[in-house]
Amino acid sequence: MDKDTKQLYNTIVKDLRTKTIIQSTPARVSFAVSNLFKGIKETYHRNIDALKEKATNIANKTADLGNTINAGYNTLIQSNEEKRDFINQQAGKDVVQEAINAEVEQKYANEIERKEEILASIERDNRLITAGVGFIVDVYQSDVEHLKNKAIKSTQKPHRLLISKLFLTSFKNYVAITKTRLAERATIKKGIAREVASFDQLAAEIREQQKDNPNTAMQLIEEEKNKLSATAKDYVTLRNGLGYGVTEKEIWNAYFADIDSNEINNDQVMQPVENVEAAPVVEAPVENIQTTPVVETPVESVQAAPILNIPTVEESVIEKVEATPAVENHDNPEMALNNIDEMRQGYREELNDGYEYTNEEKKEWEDARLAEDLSSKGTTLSYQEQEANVLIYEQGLRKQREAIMEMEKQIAIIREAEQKIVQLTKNIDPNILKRVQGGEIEQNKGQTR
Amino acid sequence: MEGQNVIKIIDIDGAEKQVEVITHFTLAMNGKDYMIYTENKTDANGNIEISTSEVVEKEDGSIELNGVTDETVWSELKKVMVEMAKGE
Repeated sequence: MDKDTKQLYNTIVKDLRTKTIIQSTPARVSFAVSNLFKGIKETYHRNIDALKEKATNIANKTADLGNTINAGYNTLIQSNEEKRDFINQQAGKDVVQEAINAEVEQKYANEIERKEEILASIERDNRLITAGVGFIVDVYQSDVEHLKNKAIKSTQKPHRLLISKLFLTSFKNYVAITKTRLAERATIKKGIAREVASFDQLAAEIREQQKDNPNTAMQLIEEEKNKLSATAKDYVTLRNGLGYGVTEKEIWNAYFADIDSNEINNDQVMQPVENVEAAPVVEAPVENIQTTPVVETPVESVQAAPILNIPTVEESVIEKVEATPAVENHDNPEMALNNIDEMRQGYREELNDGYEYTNEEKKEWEDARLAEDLSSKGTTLSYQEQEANVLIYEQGLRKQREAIMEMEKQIAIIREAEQKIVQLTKNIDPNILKRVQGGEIEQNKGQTR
Repeated sequence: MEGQNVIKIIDIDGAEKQVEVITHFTLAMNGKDYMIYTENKTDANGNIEISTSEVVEKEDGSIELNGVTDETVWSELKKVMVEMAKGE
């Protein structure tokens, strides 16, 4: 029952209750019914009016909605037209831009290509440097066999050096080790190359089969890569990292340099180049080497020679520099000076070799040795200064060698004199000789007294 | 002269010599080949003389040994030698 029907019902019941009291009068019943229908009629009209009002409101609202829709529709149409205009306008701009780009590219194509190549080259070099390539040498001792069969002719004088036996031995050992290592690497290289060639062929086939699905192709190639051995996978990863334009030799160099680098880092067997560079190679002018006198002493004389404290200079400069103890770094200047005085004293004692040096020579020796020791600290002297010190040190060595040779000459003269004495006295009666010598002794004793 | 790395060379005066090749390598800085060799000659103090030449293979297959005149290259070669001696 809706609200209006309920109201109508209540009105009728109320009237009926009121009329019950006056039930007995027909006129009153007629009046009540008349009122009832009047009420129903009024209610009906009220409802109709209400419905009419509602319909009118709905119609208005519908009209508003229509207006809104129309307005929206118009706006939409207008917007689309603007958009269409904008797109057309932009498309025109793009065409112009493309034309400009094409012109620029055509005009500067070579320049752009060159710069791109330079950039690629720099990037490649950086990658190679990072990978440790280009350090120093690619030794191929096996090529000596190749040299044996060739006509080899010197067109210019070679650069010559004097090195110690120790240095040469180390040198040869290194070469021998390198040769072994190269042989091992040749085997490794062969194995990897075979595996990678097979992988490359497979990758090419996958690319061809999946040319419309590059992502699938990449995924399948990656799966194949993961099936490779660890060494071959490392190689492929490194090759991909180095990018295009890198030669196969550069890739192999990078691959093995990477291994070297890891070995060096693990073993700490090598020193930085800066430190190594400070170790001097004994370099002497060729002329000096050729004119260096060789003192040959007869074996007999050597055996008969008195025991002399003749220092030999067999120790290489490199060895000596390394063996030199580093100077203590004293914060106290006085202590440092005392230390230097002690060091100078030590250097002076090195000259107690039986030969008389001038004060100038002694000073020169001390200065050279001190400079050498201080340079071994490697903190205050530049490389040029260290080289200069090494030269001074070498000069000192040469002087010492000259002194030794001079002394040996004197010894040879004494021995020659002794030989002559032996020759001259061999026919003299030993008793007479003994008496003469005894007389000399007695005479000397007498003079002493 | 002993050793398997002995080769014959004609020196600048036209004399034939046997030398022992210590090493033969390419220098990374310029891509040229160099050879370090010795006649095993020693001086009065027992030091051994070694020689270094640039190795140039000619089109006819012969090989020329040139000197090392560039100071930068020579400096690099010394580094190589020291590095080799240290890298034992």
